[in-house]
Amino acid sequence: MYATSTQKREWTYTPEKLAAIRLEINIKFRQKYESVITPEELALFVTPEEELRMQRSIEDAALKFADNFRPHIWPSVKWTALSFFKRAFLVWAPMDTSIRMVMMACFYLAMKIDEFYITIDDFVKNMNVGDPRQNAERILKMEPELMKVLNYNLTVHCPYRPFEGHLMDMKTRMLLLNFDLESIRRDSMRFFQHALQTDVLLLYPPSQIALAAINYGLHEQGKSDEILREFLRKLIGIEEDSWAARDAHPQDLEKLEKTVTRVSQIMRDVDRNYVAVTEQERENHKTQLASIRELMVSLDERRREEWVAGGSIGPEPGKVIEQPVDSDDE
Amino acid sequence: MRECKKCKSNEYTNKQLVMMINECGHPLCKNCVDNIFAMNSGECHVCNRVLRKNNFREQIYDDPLIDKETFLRRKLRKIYNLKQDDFATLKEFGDYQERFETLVYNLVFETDVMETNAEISAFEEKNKELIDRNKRRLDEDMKWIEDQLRDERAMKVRISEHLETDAKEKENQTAVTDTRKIMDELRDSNVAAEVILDRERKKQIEKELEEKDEQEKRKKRNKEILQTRKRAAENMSFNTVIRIAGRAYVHQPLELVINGPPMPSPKQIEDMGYLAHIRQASADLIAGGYTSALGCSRALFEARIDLFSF
Repeated sequence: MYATSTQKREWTYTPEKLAAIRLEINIKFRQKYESVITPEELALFVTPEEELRMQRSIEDAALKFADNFRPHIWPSVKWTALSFFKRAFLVWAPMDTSIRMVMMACFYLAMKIDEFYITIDDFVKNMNVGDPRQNAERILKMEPELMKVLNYNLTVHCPYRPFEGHLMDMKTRMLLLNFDLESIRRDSMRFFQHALQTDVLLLYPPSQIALAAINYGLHEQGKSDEILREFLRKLIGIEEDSWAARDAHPQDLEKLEKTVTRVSQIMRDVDRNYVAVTEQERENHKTQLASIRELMVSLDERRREEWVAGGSIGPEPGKVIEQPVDSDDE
Repeated sequence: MRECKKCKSNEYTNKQLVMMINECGHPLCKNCVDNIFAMNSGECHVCNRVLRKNNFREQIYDDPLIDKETFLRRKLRKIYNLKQDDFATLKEFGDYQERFETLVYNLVFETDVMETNAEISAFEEKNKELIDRNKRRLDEDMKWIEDQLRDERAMKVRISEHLETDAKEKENQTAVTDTRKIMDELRDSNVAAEVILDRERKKQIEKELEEKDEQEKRKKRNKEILQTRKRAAENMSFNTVIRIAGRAYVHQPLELVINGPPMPSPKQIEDMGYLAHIRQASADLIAGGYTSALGCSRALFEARIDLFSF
């Protein structure tokens, strides 16, 4: 149930809060290397916006990976995996990790969570980069770290089932529609695919996203918002043009208006924030990531040297202090 | 529940009920015994056997049969007290023990009492010397228990000695240092000797008073503990569980906050034709407990939850 879920409590934000978190992560990351970096190298460090764009390009690649995955996966796995991915980078700095590997680990974990069981061997067979054995090793190593970062909040409420629910409601209650409602399904699924590459899943409840998908599908079929209004009126139980009822339940009308506004807001969000990743962009990101990766190695080395020169005081930089994740002692 | 068959008083009507039992194994309460056997001898109210008052003993076990058996066993043990090394072979010892069990059985269930009693007196006659000797001899178990008791006693003595010497040493020490300190002060300081002595005396008196106080307190505490124990023992009940009564549980149905449009009831889902828009459940799914109405209501529920959360 979404209303009592960790998704609502811990992982739903406002757009401003989201931007603030990302900025903070970026600044923290820069501060870590402040003492050892040269100004030319600093130019290689990316802004939060660029970071986000990099994530998007990885997400785009991941969705292609998911669509080509054999056996076919169901859509909620995608949604779950990308939710994990987006959540993880509200804790980790993207430049600090291998984004691509995190994405693969997210998918592997999401398949387990969504009961789409597959062995790691079958999973890495679907990856066309790198040595399968090494890939498997890295994914398995990443998985527990990922779960820890996610604070073990592993249940993700996807909008696909609510979408079916809305559709069913519509088919049952809107008997006077003169077209086949199933025709919106293709467009709605495209809407979901686009929504996956935006922050929508960190901002809104799944039931609202699902309704936005329905409305998007209706718009694509050349219908107006009026169908949505009519549907909501029937759902809430407002009698059309009955002033008496209107006076009796003013809050019902308010709910209706608010829902319509929210739906169009989600649609606008997706429309505005979904920018298809171009081939050129992807190549740029690849080289950028590679150069950052190289830089990180030397930076870490420099940081270590600085630490040694400073008399080896405190913990060694970059060393992860192992803590038992799963312990019965407590 | 214990109940006197004669006067019908039981544990509830008489808290201090004490049941008595005699050779024949028919229990009577203490009051009845006092009444009926005021002349020291009388008849059993059940089997009319002539009994004596001083043969009555307190009933320990609820089942009079068991009580009778333990009593007889204890009595017979005094005669049949041969040890294993009184027999040539282990088999003989086994036979002897078996015979003993048979005798007890006979007496308890009162079969062939005459013959049994005759056998017992014959045995007693025959083995008189052995029995007398064994009365003073201890068997292995008894020896072990004695040893343990002795050890325990020795340990206690050791500990108390240790504590005593410790306390004494401490006392000596403080006393010595105190006197030395006082001597030094008397010699070195220019305060009048009387003042110093007065002060020291005062101190001593205070200390004594303190000790006295503490002792009294300790006594009081011990007494209290004893009293509470006594009270607890009086109120102790072995039959009913003491229930701590709190406020009675009142069931309140859980309120499900949907924050969305109202859910259609299961009947509505069926009547309004929702089920036409969902895949029909296959036979094996139905066998597993799934119905299409279930899937339908789940989708509808998830579509409604927090739809109006802005």
